[in-house]
Amino acid sequence: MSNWTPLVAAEAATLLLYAPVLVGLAADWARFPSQSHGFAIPVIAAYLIWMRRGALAAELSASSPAASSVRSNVGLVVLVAALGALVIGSLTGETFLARLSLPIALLSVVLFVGGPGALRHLWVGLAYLFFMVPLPYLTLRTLTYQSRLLDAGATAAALRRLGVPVLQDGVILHLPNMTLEVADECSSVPAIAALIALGVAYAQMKPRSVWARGALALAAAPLGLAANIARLILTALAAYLLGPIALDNVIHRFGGTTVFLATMLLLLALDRLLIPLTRPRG
Amino acid sequence: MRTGRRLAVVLGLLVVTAGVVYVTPSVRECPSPPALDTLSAALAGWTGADGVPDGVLPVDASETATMRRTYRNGRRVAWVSVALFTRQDEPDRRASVNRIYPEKDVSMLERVALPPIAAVVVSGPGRRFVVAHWHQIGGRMYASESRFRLALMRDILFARRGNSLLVRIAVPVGPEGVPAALTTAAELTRALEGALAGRVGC
Repeated sequence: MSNWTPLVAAEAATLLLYAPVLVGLAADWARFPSQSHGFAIPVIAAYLIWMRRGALAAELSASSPAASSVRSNVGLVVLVAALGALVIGSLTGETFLARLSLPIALLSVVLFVGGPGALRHLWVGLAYLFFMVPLPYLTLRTLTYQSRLLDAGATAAALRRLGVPVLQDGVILHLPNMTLEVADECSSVPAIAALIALGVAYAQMKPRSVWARGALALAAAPLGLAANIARLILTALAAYLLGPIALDNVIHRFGGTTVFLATMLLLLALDRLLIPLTRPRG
Repeated sequence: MRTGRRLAVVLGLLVVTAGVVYVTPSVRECPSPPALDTLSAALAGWTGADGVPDGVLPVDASETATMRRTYRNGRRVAWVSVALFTRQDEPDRRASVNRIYPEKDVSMLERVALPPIAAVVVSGPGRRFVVAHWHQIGGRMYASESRFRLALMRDILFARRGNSLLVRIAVPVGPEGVPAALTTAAELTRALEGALAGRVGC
């Protein structure tokens, strides 16, 4: 039996157990556009694992998990907890709980079967799978409404500064020529997980200091929110100047894509700014 | 422990989990659902007539049984909906948080305090009303959605039941303002609590 066989077999069996959970996840990614980034997450996770395959092979051939069995046994405890969460989530229909337990189960299997050395090389790729799990709907719903109010307030304030007469009534903006609603689809909150996933993946793509990686990963969400508010201000301004035709353009209709691309550009700009700061002094 | 033995332990755990998840039957359907439409149309001075505007209290497609009435007391009016949800171990049969109060043509939703239940002021073009609501499992009332979900999980896991009521009372906000509407909602809450006692079992 090669050194890889037990680990690969255990991970494959875990994925088989979770097959119905994965099918449900894929159905949600296909059904809700704000979750469609879920399809990209396993591919990026596989890439992150593939990048570390050399180091992992060396680790598996050099050490035996039995040598560090106490730490490996922690994996067994965590695996039992993850499978317990799967049972509770499946029997009660709490899909978030069942879904969240998948990356935890995969990580704990690596620790228990492959040992701490294998986990050191695999944790980034497997932990990345957390991004494929949609946030619980109750949380998402509350955050989305609060973000709609914030977006409407920021847009109204910016329009007033630009000399546009506007009356804000909650999530509704009354312009002299038309009324606009900052709808659920206008909020960037549903895409926040995608934006953070984008930031983390981008930060992992090339060697960087830990703090530069952290800064890039953490910056994605606020940059995305700012990009969305800028898009709303431009849309409202165009609606004031041009009328309803302004709502029928690519930037408004493909708001999610626009914000995603704008966030990517802002991340590239931030990365450029960080380069001189992370260079060794000398 | 050797690696082969660790693999065997993992496979054993996975098989046991699969057995529990895929062999455990779904919770049973409510054998004798409460006859909500037999709730008295006269409630503590209020008189009810069938029907509630859908734009005020939306209908949830997952409801197993429902009572929807417009109650009047002098010049005051209130809309009441009591809905039964069963077998909520299936997510599609659960009371939807999107259907408790209207969300279309709404400019503002404000949570307001009305212990022991939850209440929200719904404002939209040309209308403003309070929606007081709670979930009920057996005799226990839940104002918080997350506490209700935890209680439902417990009920499904240990009692193998997944039934609950969603009670909603909508009161228009008149010239007296939100406090008067909340007082009316609280008055009807107490009346409904009494009327529902003993009708919530399955």
